[in-house]
Amino acid sequence: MVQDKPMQRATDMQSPLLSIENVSFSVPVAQGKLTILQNISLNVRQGEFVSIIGGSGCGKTTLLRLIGGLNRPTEGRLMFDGAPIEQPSRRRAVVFQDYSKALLPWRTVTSNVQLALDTDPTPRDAATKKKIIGRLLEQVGLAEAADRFPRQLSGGMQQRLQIARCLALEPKMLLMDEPFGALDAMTRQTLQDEIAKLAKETGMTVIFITHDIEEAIYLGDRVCAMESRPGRISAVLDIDLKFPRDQLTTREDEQFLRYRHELFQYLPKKH
Amino acid sequence: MTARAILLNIGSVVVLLLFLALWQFAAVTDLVSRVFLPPVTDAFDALWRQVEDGSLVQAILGTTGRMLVGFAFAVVVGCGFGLLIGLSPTVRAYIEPSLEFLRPLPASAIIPVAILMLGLTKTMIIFVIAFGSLWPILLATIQGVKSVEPRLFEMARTMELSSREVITSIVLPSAVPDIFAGVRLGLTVSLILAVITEMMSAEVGLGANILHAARSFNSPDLFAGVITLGLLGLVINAIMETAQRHLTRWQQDY
Amino acid sequence: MLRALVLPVLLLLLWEFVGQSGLIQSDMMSYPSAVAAAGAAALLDGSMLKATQQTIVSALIGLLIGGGIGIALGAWFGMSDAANRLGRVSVETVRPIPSVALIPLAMLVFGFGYGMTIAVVAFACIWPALIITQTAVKQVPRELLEVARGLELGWVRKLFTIVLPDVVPNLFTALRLAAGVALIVAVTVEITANPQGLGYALIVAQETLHPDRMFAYLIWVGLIGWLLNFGLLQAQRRLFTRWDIA
Repeated sequence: MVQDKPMQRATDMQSPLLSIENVSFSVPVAQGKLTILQNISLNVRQGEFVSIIGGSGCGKTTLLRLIGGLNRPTEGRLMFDGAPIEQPSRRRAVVFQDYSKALLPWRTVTSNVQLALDTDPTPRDAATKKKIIGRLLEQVGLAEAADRFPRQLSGGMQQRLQIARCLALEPKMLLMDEPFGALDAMTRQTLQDEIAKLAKETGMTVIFITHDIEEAIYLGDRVCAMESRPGRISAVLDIDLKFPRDQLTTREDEQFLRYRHELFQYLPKKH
Repeated sequence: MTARAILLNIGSVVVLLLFLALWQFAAVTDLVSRVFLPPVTDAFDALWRQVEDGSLVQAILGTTGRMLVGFAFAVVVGCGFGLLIGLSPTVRAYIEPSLEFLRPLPASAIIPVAILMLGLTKTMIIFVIAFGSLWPILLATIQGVKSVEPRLFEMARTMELSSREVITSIVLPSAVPDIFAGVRLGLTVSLILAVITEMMSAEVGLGANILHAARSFNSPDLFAGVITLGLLGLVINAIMETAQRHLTRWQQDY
Repeated sequence: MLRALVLPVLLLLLWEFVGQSGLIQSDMMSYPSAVAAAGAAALLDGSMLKATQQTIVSALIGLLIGGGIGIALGAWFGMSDAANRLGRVSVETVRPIPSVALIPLAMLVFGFGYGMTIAVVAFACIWPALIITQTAVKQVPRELLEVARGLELGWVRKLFTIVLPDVVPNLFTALRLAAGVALIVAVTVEITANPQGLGYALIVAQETLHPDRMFAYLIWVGLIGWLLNFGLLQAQRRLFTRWDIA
């Protein structure tokens, strides 16, 4: 009498929101092919914050692009919310590393966020949109800059704008590709705390790519370390540090330092 | 403005007045023959006479009218085809080299062909203006459309934008600065072509007027015509500059 | 590479076919093989070369005069802010005059012949040369100018030892653009009024109803324009890559 039970919903707590199953990715080159990712398997639960770290060229960005649906795997498959990932979706918003290139430079801050709403299949009237935009800009701290153009913003503000635009899509999952890599240390810490807070508030699932071990631990519920050539997962570590985390105390926490020490072993050493 | 800047601005006008005075002096003393160089005062008298008897307005309307009609064709065709060609790398591979080859061809060289096909008609004039000013607009539009930041297309995919939305929200606005530069150049070309085509045909206009004045050794009318054309160029430039500043506001860094 | 040739070859074939087949009976119809024959004939009897020489000589002299004036004024305005501001109103008054508006005046002053074309070409060449030179000179690194001050150089030596060497690549760009303008304006003056050179040959071919010769001249003019542009671009790449990389 198994069929009496309703089919298990993919969004249930037990089943993962995202599952990456034996995924490989290679590109054709002059002699044969170059394998960029090899046999990647990973499950991500609803509401989880997963950091992925690795050195440059380990394929972490490629992995994010596969999850985003911007590229298709050459082997294996990726499932999102019960269905295979075949193309990009508004439910998996991507925050690109090069914020200055990903924003529309001819649109103001407000209007950049508006793009996400204007292209939403759900119809909304202008007043509602305005309210949503106002709330989002407030949330990322850009309310003051609403009428400015991207070029007139600092790097940190541009990245906040990109995040606000992604939030306007109301995604289930936020894919962030080294989002704070190009920012100065102070700005980076501020944004780390803000994104952690946002993730907790919205219950959004986040995949966060970084090359900074401390950033990965500080933000993640789980940290995934990757090795290079071909890119593969070398370790997955559950991070058991209490929330809300704090730039000073968390980073001085003994447990934090142990994680740091452990992850360090898994990462390729600088030549 | 600092005192120095104000002084220099005033000085700048004074310099122009000095040039005019020099001109007047050279003409009045017959240092330069009056056949070529009328006194400034005569030139402006002639200009005023043309304003009063309405011939100036008629000439300006004639010239700018044909210019704008031809230019409008060029904008529509240039932007339309530029968009089509720019969007497709395959189409570009076939067409772009031919276009590059045609680029340095003097627009005026098409005039004999047009006269042969269409005669000395108004249609011929408008065809020449449209054809001549088409190239800068077309090439600039292709350039603008093909150089859209590739990241924006990826961003558009992640937001599930339709092809129409990609064109209207991303490609066109991104190409605006290039397109506008081409449009400006096209407008300059169309004024030049409007002037010379009417010199060669019998249409009423500024170009025909100055050629006629030169043929009848009427230097005051000739200079009045040149001054008018200069002013027309100035006005067109000012309008385009304002429009350009407005359209590319987002490129400024403050 | 091959794809670049598809369109022109197809068009030529179509043109040849329509022209040969007599589908369109007209005085103005011609076709590529007839055009090629007319072009060859004009080349052989020397008329095309003579017209080419007239156009090129006018364009070149006009370019040297106008380009020289433009570069000199541009360098002056670029080095001296006061000169730039004092000259601004005069320049902005004269610059918008379409060069072709001066054709009747040049005709009046010089009569038909080289002088007329040269004068209009020179006027047209001043502006691109002036603007590019002025911009380039303004962008000479401040450090270099401070070196000049440290060495207590006079403005002539400053111009020749510091400013000009730094802007040579830009001057070449100015020259290249002005050369394109010069050719276009020269042909235009000849088409409009001056009975000599390639432009006039085009008009004569049209007036005497020789479409084959007219198209031959048109293609010839296009070829010269293209070669000029291509040649100067190549020369610029050869000569100045060192500068750009450094």
